[in-house]
Amino acid sequence: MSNNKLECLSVSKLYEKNGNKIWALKNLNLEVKEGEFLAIVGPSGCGKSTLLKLMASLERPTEGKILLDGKELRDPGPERAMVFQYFSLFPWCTVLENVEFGLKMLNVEEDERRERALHYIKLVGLEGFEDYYPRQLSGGMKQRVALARALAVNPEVLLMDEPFGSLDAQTRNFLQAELLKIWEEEKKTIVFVTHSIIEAVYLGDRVVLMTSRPGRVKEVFEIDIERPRDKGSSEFSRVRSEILSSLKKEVLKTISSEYSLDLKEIAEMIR
Amino acid sequence: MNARTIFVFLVFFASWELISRSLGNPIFPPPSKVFLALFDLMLPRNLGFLSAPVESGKLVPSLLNTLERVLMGFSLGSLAGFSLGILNFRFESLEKTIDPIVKILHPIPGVSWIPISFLAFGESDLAVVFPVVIATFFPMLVNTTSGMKSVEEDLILAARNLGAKGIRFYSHVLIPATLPFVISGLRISWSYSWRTSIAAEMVLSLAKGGGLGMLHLTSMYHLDVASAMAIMLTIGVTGMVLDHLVLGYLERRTLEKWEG
Ligand SMILES: Nc1ncnc2c1ncn2[C@@H]1O[C@H](COP(=O)(O)OP(=O)(O)O)[C@@H](O)[C@H]1O
Ligand SMILES: [Mg+2]
Repeated sequence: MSNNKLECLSVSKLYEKNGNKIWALKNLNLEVKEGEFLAIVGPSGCGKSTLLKLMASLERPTEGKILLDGKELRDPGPERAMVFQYFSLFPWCTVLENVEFGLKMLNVEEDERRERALHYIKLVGLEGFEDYYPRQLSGGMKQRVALARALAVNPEVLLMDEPFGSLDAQTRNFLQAELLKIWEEEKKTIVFVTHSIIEAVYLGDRVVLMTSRPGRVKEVFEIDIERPRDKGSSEFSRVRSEILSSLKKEVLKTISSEYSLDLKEIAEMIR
Repeated sequence: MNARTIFVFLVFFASWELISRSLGNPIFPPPSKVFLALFDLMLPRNLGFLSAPVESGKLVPSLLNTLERVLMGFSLGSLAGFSLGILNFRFESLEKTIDPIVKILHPIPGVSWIPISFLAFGESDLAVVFPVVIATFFPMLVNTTSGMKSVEEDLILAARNLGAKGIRFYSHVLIPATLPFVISGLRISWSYSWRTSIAAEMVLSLAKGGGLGMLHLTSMYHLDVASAMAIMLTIGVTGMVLDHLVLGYLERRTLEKWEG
């Protein structure tokens, strides 16, 4: 057996809305290795969120299959916990209740539940905020709660969908470093979607670049820079611009497709 | 209530008293008479302030009759509206099917159902309860349905990701997430059902005894405007207490968690 934690085998996802058919993903193949920090970048609308939802079994692939430890996935499970871009905390629950939520659903006894929740609240640096409601917290703090909530069910895989995308630069840098620390301590496999190449290169063992819709894997970059990585180093910018130039081509395609023209049509119009 | 409100109240009552006394017309009694009528209506002994002494002491029993009917109709109607709202979320095809019917029935006021209700239930309390149920049901259904629809997709996904499913998905996620809508639905429903029950009592003669609506109408028969006004005051204050103090309290308690 391989050391693949997750495998996507020619996964396709078709959405139908008001009679429109949209292939969000088409024949996507991807492996996520055990314990790896995998970053995924791609033009917006290329199906990154869709891919994570499929990995979490919150949606079913239209074609193909997704394996976890070699077994085909069907239903959501606590071994794959998700962190959403806009936190998606339960506004009627305190921080503590939010973090306890998954454990409650797993029927963990109240004492143990509390203990584990408090442990993860402390781990993400929110000690003392247990009784706060989400609305009383800043964006960065909310995302810490969401992270603690996901970690509390002790998942093997963390699926993170642009988790720091809506935060200010300072909070973002800080949380990136925190996340790496937690990843090293907790030995999780992480699939991290971002639209920031800098973030992807800073965090990832590998960076997967997706094509514009329908999403496939365009290119995979091994990031061999030693941690802690310096975003200002020349090595960092070299890797970054390599990914960037590849992404630029994809973005151009996205823009043209937004005006419902594909590149062939444009070429014909110019001729 | 701030000092300015109290001041305006005082000025209002004082001018009313003065104008009414100078006109001396019985269809425009001064507030002092209204309050004396109110006491006479409330207290078991006839104080002699009413042109129809039979009404003396009737206020509290009438109020209780009204409350019994309205609360029964309100609970049944809101429970039914809420439940169907949940079913609408669970079965999208159900919502699509009944939506046009709901859209037509929703604007029909509860009072429009009184004649049918009378034919169906005669002099029993149900003749009042039924239109109240209807008046409560539709706002509750509409609010619950739109509340459930407006729950953020990601919130639902987050809950499912953390293992919420089956009945616990509803009890721990969907219903709490919809609570602000449910409470505002309750408040709208309450105001409809309160109005409907008073109106129904005015036109129906009920075996168990009339409520505030009937008492109100009787005082008008006797041209006892002071006691009619006293009863109107009671209707207003009771409606306000239940809406503002009971449901409003619930709303403030819930919303303070949501957004402060
Ligand atoms: N529930 C849905 N119904 C219809 N279309 C959807 C749905 N979710 C996503 N899509 C479409 O699929 C494509 C990929 O979406 P998404 O995975 O959110 O992209 P990304 O996260 O990369 O920005 C988009 O064109 C989007 O409009
Ligand atoms: Mg997305």
